[in-house]
Amino acid sequence: MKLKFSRVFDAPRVALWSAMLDPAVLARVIPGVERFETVGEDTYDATLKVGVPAVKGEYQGQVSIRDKVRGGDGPYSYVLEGGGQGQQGWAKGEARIEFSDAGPGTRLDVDADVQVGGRIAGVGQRMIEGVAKIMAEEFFAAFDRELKRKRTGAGGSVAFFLRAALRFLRGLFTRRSPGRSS
Amino acid sequence: MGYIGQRIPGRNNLRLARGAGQFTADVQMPNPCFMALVRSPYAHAEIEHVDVSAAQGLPGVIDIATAAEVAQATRPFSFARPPEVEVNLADMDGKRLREYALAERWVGYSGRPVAAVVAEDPNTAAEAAERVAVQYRELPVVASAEDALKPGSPGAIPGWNDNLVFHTRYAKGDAASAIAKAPGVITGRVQVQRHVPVPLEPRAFVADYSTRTGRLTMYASTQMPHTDRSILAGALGMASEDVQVIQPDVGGGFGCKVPGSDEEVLVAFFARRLERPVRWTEERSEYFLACGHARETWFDFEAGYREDGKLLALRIDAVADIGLPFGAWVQSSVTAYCLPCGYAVDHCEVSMRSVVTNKCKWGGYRGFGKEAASFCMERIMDRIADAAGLDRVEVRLCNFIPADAFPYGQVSGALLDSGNYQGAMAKLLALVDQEAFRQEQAAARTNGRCLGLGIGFELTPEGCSMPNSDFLQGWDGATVRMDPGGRVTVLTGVTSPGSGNETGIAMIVADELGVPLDTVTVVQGDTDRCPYGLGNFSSRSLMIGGSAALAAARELREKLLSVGAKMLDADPEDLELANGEIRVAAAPAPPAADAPRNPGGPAWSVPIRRVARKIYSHAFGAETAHVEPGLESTRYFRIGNVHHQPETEGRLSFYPTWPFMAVAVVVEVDVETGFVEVLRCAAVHDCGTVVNPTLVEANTHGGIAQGLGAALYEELLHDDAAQLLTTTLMDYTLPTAVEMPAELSVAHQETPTAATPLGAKGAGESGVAGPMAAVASAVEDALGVEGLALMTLPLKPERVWRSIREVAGAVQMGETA
Repeated sequence: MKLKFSRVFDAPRVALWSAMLDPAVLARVIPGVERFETVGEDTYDATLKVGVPAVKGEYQGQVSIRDKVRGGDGPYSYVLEGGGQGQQGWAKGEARIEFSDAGPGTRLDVDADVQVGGRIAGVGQRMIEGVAKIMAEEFFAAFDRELKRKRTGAGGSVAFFLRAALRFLRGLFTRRSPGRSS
Repeated sequence: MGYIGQRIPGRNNLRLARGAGQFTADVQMPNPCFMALVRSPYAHAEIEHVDVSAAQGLPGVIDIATAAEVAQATRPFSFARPPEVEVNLADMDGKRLREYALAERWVGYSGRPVAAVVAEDPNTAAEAAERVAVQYRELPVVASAEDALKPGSPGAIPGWNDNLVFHTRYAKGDAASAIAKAPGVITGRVQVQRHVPVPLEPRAFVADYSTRTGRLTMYASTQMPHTDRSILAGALGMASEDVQVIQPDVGGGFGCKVPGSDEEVLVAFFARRLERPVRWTEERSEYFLACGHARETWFDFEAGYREDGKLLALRIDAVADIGLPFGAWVQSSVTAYCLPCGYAVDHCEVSMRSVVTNKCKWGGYRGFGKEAASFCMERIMDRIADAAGLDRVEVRLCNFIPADAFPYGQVSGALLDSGNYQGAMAKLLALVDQEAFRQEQAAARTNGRCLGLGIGFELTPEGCSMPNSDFLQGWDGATVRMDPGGRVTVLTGVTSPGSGNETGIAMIVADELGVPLDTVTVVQGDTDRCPYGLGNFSSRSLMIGGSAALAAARELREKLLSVGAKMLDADPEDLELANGEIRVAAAPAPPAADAPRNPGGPAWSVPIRRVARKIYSHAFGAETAHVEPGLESTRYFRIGNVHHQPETEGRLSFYPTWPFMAVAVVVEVDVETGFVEVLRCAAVHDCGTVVNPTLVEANTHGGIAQGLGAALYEELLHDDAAQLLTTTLMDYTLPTAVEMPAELSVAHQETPTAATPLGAKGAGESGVAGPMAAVASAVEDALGVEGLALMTLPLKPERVWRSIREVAGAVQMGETA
C-alpha cells in the first residue's frame, strides 16, 4: 500500500532535519508511543498504543534509518524502515522522507510503502489509509508544537530573541498578528 | 393420487420464517464458558514463542490451551481429513502434512489457530486472546498458483520438493494430432475466482461432557453428524458411542459445514478438560479467513473444431490454487473428472494440477468443482460459435451427447446415467422467445440501452461415492416406525441444511404406507436416535436417504398388508394402501364400500391404525401370529451406477446420477460504468423424477442466486503476502433480493435415473454453473463488440468497463450507444 503525506513546517530545513532524527523528540511526538529506545546507531525499539478502531491495540516494533542525504542545495532525505506486530496483526514497510525549502519554512514529503497483515489487512484495509492519515496528522501537529516549544523555549538564544522582535515589529506595521506567515 | 410430484411447501418453512428456528447458537446449557482463538496474522511463518501470561492474568479467563497441550490430548488431524487425500498424498513423493487443531511450530496460512482461550464470557475470551503474545519468524510466502509453479518458487510447505499436490490426468483419443488437423483452432484461458459459500449462519459448536456417563454431547452446525462423531471420537481417543452429535437447525451449509474443523475439535477438547459446557460461534471475519475457500482455477484450452461448430478435439490444462492441502481440495479433481461435461468429444486431454499455496484450505462449496468445469466448457462453446460465425445455441446442440447414447462413458471414465440435453435446450428456447428478444434488443439499442441474452448449460453430477472414504459414500440408513396409533416416525442418516428434504422424505414414506402426510414425522441429525448415515452432501439426502426410507417403509407396508389381508379375509395382492386405510382394490365407491362385502362377512377396508394396533396388542392372534411383532424397519440403501472395482468394472465411476440444467438470462449493461443488471432468468432443470417441484425450484433459485453472485460480484482477494483483504460482507459482495432478476422461472424436464428406485437424481447443487456461463454470454451479447471475450469472473463493473475499452472498436460502440 502506497501512502503519501506532505506538510510545510515553519522551521528551517536543518532544524527540522535534526528534530526528526532526535529520539527524544520522537519519543514525545509519535502518537501513542509508550516506549522509544535507542538500540543502535539510528535504530530504535518502540511500543505503540493505537486507539483507532480496526487497528486498536498495542504494537511492538523496530525502526531504523538509512540512506541519509544531507548537504548541498538539493533536498535532504532519508529512508525510514521498520516493522511491528501487535494484537490486530502486523505492519512493515519503508518510507522516504524528503526535506525541501518552502519559502522561509520547510516542506516535508513522506512517501511510504506499507504492508499490513492479520486483522489490520482483513478488517482494516478499507480504513487503513484514513487511519494512517489521522496518525500522520497527529504526528505533524505534535511535531509542530514541539518546534514551537523549542523556539519559545526557556532562555532562548539571542538570534531567537531578535527574530521574535523583528516579527513583532513587522506585525505592528502590517496590523497582522505576528508569527504565522501563512 | 399420491404425494410424490405434488407441490407441497417445506414443513419447516413457517417455523423458520417466524423466527422459531433453533440454531446451534440458540442452544442453551447451564453455566457455559466461551472459546476464542488466537489466529496467525502471517500467511507463512515459524512460531518461535507463545506467551500466555498476560492473558492468564485477566479476570474471567478459565483456561488457555497451546499447541503442545492439544497435541498431547488429541490425535493429529490426518484422520480428520478426507481419506482419499491421504491415499493420494501417499503416492506423492512422500509429501505429507499432519496437523493438530492448533499449529505447533509452523503456520501455513493467515488465520490458522495458534492458541485457544476459554473465559466466562465471550468478550473476556476475545480480550484474552488478544493478549496472547506470539512471536513469529516470517517465511517466504507463496501467494498464488502462478508463483507456486515457477521454478525455484519457495515452498508453501517446508520439506516438499515442489508445490504440486496432485496431478489429475484423463485422455481419450489423440487430441494433439486431431487439433493439428482441425479446420479451425481456438485457444484461450478461462478463469474462475476464489470463493467462499457464506451461509447466513456461520459455524457454531456447543459441547458438554458428562462426568456421570463419560459422554460428550456436541451440538454442531454440521452437515454430517455421524462422520462428525467419528472425527471427534477419533481426535479425543473416545469410543464413537460415547459421543453424541446433534445437528439443530442449520442456516445453510453449501459444503462448508462438513466436519473436521480445528475449531470443533477444540470445543470438544475444552468441554472434556473443563467438564463444563463450552460454546463457540464464529465471527464472520473468521469465517472468511479459516472456514474454507473454493473454486480458484484457471483453464488453458486449445480446441479444434469443424466449420459446422462440431468440437473435434480439446486439450485443457487446468491449475487450481487449493491453498493448504486439507479439507475439500479434491474438488479440483472433480472439475477434471467432469470435463468435457455434457459434450461428446472424440479426442480430449484433460490435465488438472492442484497446487498448494499459503492460503486457507479449500472447503466444499455447492458445485464441488463441477461449476468450474461447466463454466469452462460453456465459454469454449461460445468462443467456437464466435470463431465459426455460428449461433451459440446451434453449437451446443451439435456437440451435446446424443439422448440415445446413455449411459455414456465420459473421458474420465465417468458413467453418465441418463440425459436429454437437447430436450432441455428445446424446452428452454420455447420459454425464451429469441426473436421477440432480438426486436426488444434492437429497440433498446436505439434508446442507448444495451440488452443481451445469454445461454448456459450445466452438468452437476450428484451422489458422490469415493472409494476408501469415511466422508463420501453413496449409501445411507433409515428407520421407519409406526406406533400403535398409526403415526409414523422416520429416522434418517441424512440431514437437511435447510433445503427441505425432510418434507420430500415424508412424502415418499406417506405414499408407500398410504397414510396422511401430517402423520409422518421425520427425525434427522441426532447420532443417538438416527441410524448411521453420511449426512448431507452432493445432493444425496433425498435420492439416497429417501431411497433408504422407501426401502424401510416398504417392509412395513408388507407387514401391514399381510395382517390387513387376514383382517379383511383377502389376498394381500388384492389390497391397496391409501388414505390411511387398507382396502380391497376392487371395492365399490362409498357409500357401498362402508357396508360389509356380504352379510356377516369382512369389511371392504380397515384403517391402517387399526392394523397397527392389532400388531402391537394382539401379537398372538390369528391375524398377527404369522408376522414378527413390532412395526419398525431399518434399511440401508446403496445407490446404483457407482463402480469402485476397476479390475472387473472398468474405470472408476464415483458419481451415480447426472442432473443438468439449461438456463437463459437477459442482462442490461451500462456501457459508461460497466455495471451489469440481470433482468430475467429462465431455466429448464432435469433431476429425473421430481418428488416435490416446489422444493426443487426453491433449491434451484438459491443456486441461481449463488451463480449470479459468482458471475458478477463475489471474489476473495489476497495481497502479495497472501493476506486476505475481503473479510467482511462489505468487501465480499453477495447478491441480495435486490440483485435477483425480477423475472425468474424454473421449468422441469424429467429423465429418470435407473440408479434410484424412484428415478430421482440429486437436485441440491443445480443452478450455479449455468447462470455463471449465461451471464458472461449475455454481457458479450449486450455489448455486441466483435472480439470481446469475457473469460474471467467476476464480471464486476471495473472488469467489464476495461474489457470494453481494451477491445478495438469498443469506444465507437460506446459512443453510438
